[in-house]
Amino acid sequence: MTDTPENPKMKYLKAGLTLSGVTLVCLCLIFAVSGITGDVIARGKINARNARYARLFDPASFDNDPALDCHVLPGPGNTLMEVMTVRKGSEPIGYIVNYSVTGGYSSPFTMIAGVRTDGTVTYADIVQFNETPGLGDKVLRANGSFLDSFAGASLSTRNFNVKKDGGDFDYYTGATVTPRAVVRSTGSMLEKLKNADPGTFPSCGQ
Amino acid sequence: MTITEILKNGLWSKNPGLVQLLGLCPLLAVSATAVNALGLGIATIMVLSVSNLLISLTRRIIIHEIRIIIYVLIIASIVTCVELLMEAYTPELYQALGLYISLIVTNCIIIARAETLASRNSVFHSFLDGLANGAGFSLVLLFIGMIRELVGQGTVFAGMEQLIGDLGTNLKTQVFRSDDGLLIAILPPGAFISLGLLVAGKNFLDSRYRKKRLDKREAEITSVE
Repeated sequence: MTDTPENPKMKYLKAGLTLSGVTLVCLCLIFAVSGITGDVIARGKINARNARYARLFDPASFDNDPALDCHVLPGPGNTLMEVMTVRKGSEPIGYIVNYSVTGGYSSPFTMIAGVRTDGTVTYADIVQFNETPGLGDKVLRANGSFLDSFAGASLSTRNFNVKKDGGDFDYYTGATVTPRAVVRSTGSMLEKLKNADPGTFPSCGQ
Repeated sequence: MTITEILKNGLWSKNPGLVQLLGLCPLLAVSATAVNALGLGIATIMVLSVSNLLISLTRRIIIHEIRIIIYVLIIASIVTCVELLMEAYTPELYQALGLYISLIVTNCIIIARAETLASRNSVFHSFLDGLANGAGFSLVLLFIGMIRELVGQGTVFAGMEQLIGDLGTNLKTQVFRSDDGLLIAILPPGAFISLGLLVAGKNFLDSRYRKKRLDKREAEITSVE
């Protein structure tokens, strides 16, 4: 600072005022951007969610918003799973289940599956994944068709184990850990869903 | 400082990634694929140039004692805005980069440029310096990403549609089968090895250039004699 020696109190005041001024401007900037992007982000999230649901159940086959009919049930292992009931009118046609897979390399990771009321899986996908790249990630849809083997499977028609363990699910050579975890957890999810009535459990977000 | 000097420093002779070795956390963590690297690189360029611009604009009203707080405040606000924009317009990439967008705040390149350059130079020079340093950093990031993706899974620019929409689907180049990739390239050590190779390559080019210049001068001196 080049100018004349200032009263230290004035200097503190000036510093405080500058800081508040900059803070105010920064806040305005963030609020402005958040105002512009808020709608886009919300719409994008809803679109992404609807696209995810559409892969599980044909959009024409149901007419409720499954996210509003969501209950928390005990899931595979000691985890919890979110069960969303899909309805046509008031009749449930199936469930969308968000569940955790335990027993992998760095579990749990989360999966989503559509299950019809008769216990048949319509489609299964991995939502969030943190297995070791190159070792467990061949189960991902981007890297192969492993997850397709769940379509149409139910507890009564398939044994939810990998073939190495005497079950009905293929796995790829070299790394059994992740497929085994996925298959067993999905089986356990179906088991727990079969024996429960989701409506009697607490709602999501409570 | 001239414009060419600024560009040359940022892109090559004082490259933040290869010479100053700043910002290694995102450099090593997000470079597993070329697309992630490019995405974070673009975000860094945006933050760095805008923060340099704003800090240079406000350099006369900022009181010396509280300058660092103000820099952090400005940088954090810009990063928040960039994060919101990315979440709105490139949601898939936002998912893939996750935490690392917010971590741009802690990238020491940005505060280093603010402190050493933007607080002392004109708005235009500061903005240009932000662009040059951001581009220098992004290029290193992109190269590491390409090396790791190529060696690790035999592809380059897989998943480009996350960044530029449907146009990017055709950009993916499969060089060899994914199964034949060298796993270590995708795992963290691959990042260190690739960075080491790039630094070595740069030093090799530099020393060859210096040697050539020396030889030339020697030749001139002998011819005069």
